[in-house]
Amino acid sequence: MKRFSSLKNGLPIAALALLGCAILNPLLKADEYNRKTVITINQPLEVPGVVLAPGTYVMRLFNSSSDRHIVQFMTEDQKQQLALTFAVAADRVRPTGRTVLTMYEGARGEPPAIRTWFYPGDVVGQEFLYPHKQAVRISERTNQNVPEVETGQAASAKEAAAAVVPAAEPAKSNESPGESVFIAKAEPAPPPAPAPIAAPEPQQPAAEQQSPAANNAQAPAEPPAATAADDTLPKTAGKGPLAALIGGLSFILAFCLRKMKGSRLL
Amino acid sequence: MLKTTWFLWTLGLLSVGYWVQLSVKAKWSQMRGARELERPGVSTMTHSPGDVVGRLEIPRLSVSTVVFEGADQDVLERGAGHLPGSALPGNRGNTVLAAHRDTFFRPLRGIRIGDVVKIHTPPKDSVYIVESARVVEPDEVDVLKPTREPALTLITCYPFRYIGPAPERFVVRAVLAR
Repeated sequence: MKRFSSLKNGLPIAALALLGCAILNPLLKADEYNRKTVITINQPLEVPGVVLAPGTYVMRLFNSSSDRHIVQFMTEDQKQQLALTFAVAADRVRPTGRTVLTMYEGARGEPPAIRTWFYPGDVVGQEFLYPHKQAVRISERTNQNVPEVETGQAASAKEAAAAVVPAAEPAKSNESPGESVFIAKAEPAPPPAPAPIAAPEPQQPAAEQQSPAANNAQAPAEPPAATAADDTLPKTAGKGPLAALIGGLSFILAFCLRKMKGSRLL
Repeated sequence: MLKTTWFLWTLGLLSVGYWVQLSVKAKWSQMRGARELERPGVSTMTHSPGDVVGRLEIPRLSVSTVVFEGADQDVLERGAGHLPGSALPGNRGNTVLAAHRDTFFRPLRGIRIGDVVKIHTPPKDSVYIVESARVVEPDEVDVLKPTREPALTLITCYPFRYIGPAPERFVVRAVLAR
């Protein structure tokens, strides 16, 4: 708490970032190739496909020489993979000496969602792609565009995940097929209540966190799960005309039968 | 014979009664929604299912319907529905509205590129210009994807001449007028 206060006083911009509790403090234990970064969070953090509970995690690039935009979220001991996510290149003008993470700010007690990740010294970072359902939800509550993972990518991520998850730690859950791959140890998509933020170490969140305007979250209640996230478009056939047709036909038939009976045809 | 006749009369009465009930429900909901929109200080930023979101108007087609939050059967019997999770009218992102093709969105069969679509969400009005209309399969949910710019997507069933559940969807995409 003390740390939080001092940060607030010292860096006004931090207010915004801190709101989103993006108080991630990546401790760099860098493996230059896989960009391994240790992050400590003390409130839930939404990453593609899963919500991470407070704790320490490792994020790193997937061991792929052909695609440098696949990011793994691992437990601290790196024995279990929590999420395997796709990203696209994100650019910045000047590299910094520290890890920078930006967030889609949470609203109404919802956890922030990770947006970009820049490794120290890199001008090209990772902008995370979210599963459709999750992207829509984050987009709605933050009023920002959230890039989505494509079905093809999700499929390859699934394959990759299957290859990577250690046998000792089976996959716990999967979201709807074809969206993205995640192996969740923490709670899946529905965001838990926020907790206070832990202040980690040498991170300077304010400097390159998102601007308050960009983070301006709208006030929405939680969108019902069974809507935009459904696999089909809304059913828009009214029952009224069908009922009227059935009713009309019934009347006509009944009338005809009555007539036929009256004329002794039946 | 007598039994069949009585059965048909009963079925007819029930069916027509149901249709009348749906019509009354729609009219009543529209009136109630319109009153709510006219109430001073009303906020349309609510998201609870069934809440009034705004009023959709397409002047050239004489479409004017209250938009409610949600896209389930109950909401769509009352008016147009705003798909939860999609952007609110006038905001950045994709605003998705759905309605029955045999009631509120029936005139959409006459939509043309360039038509003006207005959405009144107190205290502001948003004006969209139709840029495309196409027929898609019900599982083509790409049309729901968030967009970078403010966009409006209207969804109804297709073909329009059908009675009962139709196999396709008619999707109109409009962009916010500058």
